[in-house]
Amino acid sequence: MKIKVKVSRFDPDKSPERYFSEYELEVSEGMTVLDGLIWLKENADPTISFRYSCRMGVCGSCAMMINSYPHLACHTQILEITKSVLVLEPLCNHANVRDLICDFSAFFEKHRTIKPHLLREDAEKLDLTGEISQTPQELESYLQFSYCIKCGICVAACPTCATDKEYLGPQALAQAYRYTQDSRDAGGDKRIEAAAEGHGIHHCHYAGACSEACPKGVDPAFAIQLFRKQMVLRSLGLKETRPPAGEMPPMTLNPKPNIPKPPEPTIK
Amino acid sequence: MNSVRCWFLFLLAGLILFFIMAAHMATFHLSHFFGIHEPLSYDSVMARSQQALFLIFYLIGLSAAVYHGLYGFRRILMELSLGRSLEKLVTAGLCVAGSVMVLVGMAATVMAFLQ
Ligand code: SF4
Ligand code: FES
Repeated sequence: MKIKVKVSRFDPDKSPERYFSEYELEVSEGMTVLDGLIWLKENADPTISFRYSCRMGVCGSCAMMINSYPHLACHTQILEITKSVLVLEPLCNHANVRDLICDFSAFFEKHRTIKPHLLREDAEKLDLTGEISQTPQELESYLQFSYCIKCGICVAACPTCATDKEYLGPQALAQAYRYTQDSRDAGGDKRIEAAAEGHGIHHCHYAGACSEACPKGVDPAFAIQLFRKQMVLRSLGLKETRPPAGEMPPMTLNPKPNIPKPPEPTIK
Repeated sequence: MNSVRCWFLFLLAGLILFFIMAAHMATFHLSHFFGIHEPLSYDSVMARSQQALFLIFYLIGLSAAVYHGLYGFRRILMELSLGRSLEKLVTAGLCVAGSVMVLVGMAATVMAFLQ
């Protein structure tokens, strides 16, 4: 089946205006938008610019507006979207730098402000090759939110991000909850401060568009609600702050004879 | 944590308003069921204002309405990305405006109660 593909083009060195280039594409069952774009780049127009890497919904590079809705190009089959016209545009709410490519520096800057890593006082003293214990229930309480691949789709779908450029956005806020909820972390108060001040969590309008669009089922809107609840309980002193989970004691099992010794740790 | 408490207060004020507005609507629109036919007449308003229950009701309602309204208005203004210094100015301005509104409203309510 032949369809028409309209690709948004933008080259700030040549013109400040965006325009569309149109191509014809032979589509077969199971062909993804990314497959189509790669075919067009190889056979019709080598100047089309777009990002991709893993081609299997893992790296988050290929997010774009596909017929006006944000999707991963490698995760979207053309025939599920259209049988006539496919319109490809750069993600909304991100700065477009070339054709279908957006600049993610502001997105990652916001991600950085919520301190997306384990914070604990004893970090210096921890054995880097050791393990910190965590029960399956503790893991379950944040696991869903740790599937984020930082594709920026939730930000493109969010109506608050569209009107408020300083808003932290669903991705950063969901990750703030993910790390605060982690039993190995002790930086909840610092993260709450970062997420609650200025254009933070209270600017969310409960639209839920982020959760609907997220290709990994992260459900950032749910994380935001859970984080709000935790913030209120902590600020009213109704939730005890727990100490972070401790290190596992070193293994004391006597190994069976003839089992080779493990290699030396590479990190000292 | 301060901003979390302010936001929680905003929710609480909304919840209080829900009940207060229900009672307010009932007073004005369903009052004929209780045998009051002109709830907005001077005599009815004064009779209500001189009851301790209504005094408490109006004072809580007034504070909740002003806080909830101005907090929401501030949030709308903040979305215009005004810049840090202008945002501080807006917050301070709204705090002053809110305090004046509450004080004037409280003075009127208490004066009516004491008449
Ligand atoms: S929350 Fe979902 S949509 Fe948002 S960046 Fe992460 S994976 Fe992408
Ligand atoms: S190419 Fe990696 S997610 Fe699409």
